[in-house]
Amino acid sequence: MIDLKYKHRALLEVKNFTFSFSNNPHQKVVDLIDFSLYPNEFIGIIGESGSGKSVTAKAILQLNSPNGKAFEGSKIIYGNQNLLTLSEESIRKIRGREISIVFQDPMTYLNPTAPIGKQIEESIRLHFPHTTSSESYLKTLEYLRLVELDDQKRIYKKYPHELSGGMRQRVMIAIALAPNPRIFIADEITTALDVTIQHEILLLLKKLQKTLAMSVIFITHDLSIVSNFADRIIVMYKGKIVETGNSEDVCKKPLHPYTQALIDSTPTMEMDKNSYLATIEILRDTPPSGCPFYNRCTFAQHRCKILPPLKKMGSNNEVLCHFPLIEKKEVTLC
Amino acid sequence: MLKKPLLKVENLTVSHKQNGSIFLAVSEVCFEIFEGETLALIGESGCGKSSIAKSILGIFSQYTGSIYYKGVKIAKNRQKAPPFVKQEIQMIFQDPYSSLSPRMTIEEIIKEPLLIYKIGDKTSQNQRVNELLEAIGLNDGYKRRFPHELSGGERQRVSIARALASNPKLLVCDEPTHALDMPIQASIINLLKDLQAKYHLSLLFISHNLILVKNLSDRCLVMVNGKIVEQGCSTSIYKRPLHPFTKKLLSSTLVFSKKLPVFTEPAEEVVKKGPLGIDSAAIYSYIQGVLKNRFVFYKKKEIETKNPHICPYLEKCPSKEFSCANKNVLEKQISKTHKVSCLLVD
Repeated sequence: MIDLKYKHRALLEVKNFTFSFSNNPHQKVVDLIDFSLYPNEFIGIIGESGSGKSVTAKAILQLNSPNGKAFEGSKIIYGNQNLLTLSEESIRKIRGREISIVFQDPMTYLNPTAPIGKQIEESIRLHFPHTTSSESYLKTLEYLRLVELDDQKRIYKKYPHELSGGMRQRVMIAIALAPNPRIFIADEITTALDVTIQHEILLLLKKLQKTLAMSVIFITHDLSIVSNFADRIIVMYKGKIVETGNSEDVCKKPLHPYTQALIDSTPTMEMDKNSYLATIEILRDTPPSGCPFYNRCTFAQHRCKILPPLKKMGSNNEVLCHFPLIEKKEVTLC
Repeated sequence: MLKKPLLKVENLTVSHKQNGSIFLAVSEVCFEIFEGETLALIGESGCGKSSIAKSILGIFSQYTGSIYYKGVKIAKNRQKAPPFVKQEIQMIFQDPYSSLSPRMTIEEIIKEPLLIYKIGDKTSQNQRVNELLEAIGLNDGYKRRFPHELSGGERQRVSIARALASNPKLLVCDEPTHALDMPIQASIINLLKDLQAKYHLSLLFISHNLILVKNLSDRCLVMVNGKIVEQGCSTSIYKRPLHPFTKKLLSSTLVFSKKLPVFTEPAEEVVKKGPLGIDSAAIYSYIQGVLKNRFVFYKKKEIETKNPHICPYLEKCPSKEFSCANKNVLEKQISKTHKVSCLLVD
């Protein structure tokens, strides 16, 4: 099934993307990233805070603060257009309409002075100026039903402060979905929510992805979410992609030492009070250029002071490491 | 062996005034914390976990009921409490970004409790700061830094050091790893375990992350709408959850496993016709509607004022029955360590 998917042309292509902020132009927040998003695909980008995952997502829609700048040669291609060089006028036709984004904190992104329904209607009317008011009202109710909010006519009149966090996040999703986008970017949308609500929102998102046939980029720092819901995982560390692959491959047999360390530090049901979680400690100094994980890697060797190339492993997996973990196990067996 | 409880909470009720009406955040909660144990408090947001923590620390004084620390009743007004109480109960807050003063250096932040409680002279205070910095795994260079120069994990370590400075016996942790990444969360949890063994601390750990709690706690309390619905030792709760809410929490916790669950779309409901050719699904939905109306009739606040002993999980419970709405819930002892308050559990 997945092989069939790769015969499609990519929907969104990120090529050689490098980004830095003007207060520290030599520090590359994102460093030479390459990945593509295919139609009907759910990809998860995972990494710790400061690894550049949000910057990448925001750069797709030119939402980064103006003191940030993409380097020459970086491209984000969506339908023959480079999104990085589009004018403000033309990116507004894509932002929300073709590619929409939802952020972590649902309260700060909703307008506290307008009812929920009006805010969803605004999103519809902005992108389809010819809809009549009765049409957009019915459409709004339809989208409220789609995000599984009961009693839509009552919710329509409510203000954001009257709703709970999970309901607000559902409204945010409805606003983002109303113009019928092809790509949906979720930037840590469940971080501020409870376990039960998080589970509900994720199930909803997966269902909507299937019914509306859209692609989802899901950004998180929680491996358990991505391993349960994503088709493909991209692991980022210090602005570089260190591993990509099908989520099953990445979780079952991680190739990069950082992915392995992430998996070890995630608590599991089998542990109890006496077991310790693995942590990622700083072991040595960072070399000026070289593997981004060099200073914390337990397997690092002399060769790791030179930046490794992105190796292709298997059909869909790539890893940025001189000594991917699979090879090492074979060596120890001999 | 009978252990003496370090902290005892009896009939704690916390109420907030909201738009003229009174909202019960916590109602008639009783529990104990013994020396050297970790007690976890689990529940959804808004169920009153933090209200309990704040009343134990005396940040809230709008509560009824009594809290005993080492057998001494803690006065509602923190100023009147015996000084050792203030010193020996400390708290770690959820957000490491807003809980440290931006104008103080790390050294000043850690030293502040020592100055407030007048512990030791200048040289011993400096020694204590060095000792604490070593215990939390930060080197001497951090002393002169300001909080904004540190990462989230480092800040949370500093707030742990500040809490430990006055030699506390009980540490209240209000979701200390909520805002942190996975590896950093793991290191903070390991640090808490180490420090607990080193300083013989008791922990009250508030969280809604069940897997994390399993890694840390001896006993668990599960809360719904301000009431404790299930309590007991962690192993038995995780092995055999009895209350419907605990079951739901456990089933919706995403577990990282190498065996990946494949997403399955919920099967469409099959219309079953009974022997008389009656659509049973229609009858079911009719009954559901009647049930729903019934519960709308008893609005939450009305229930609270009419009968405070009614099941707190009544509105959302997936396995409720007609009789649940009219009966009082009593705590049932399942085993020596496991208690549950649900009418449907025998």
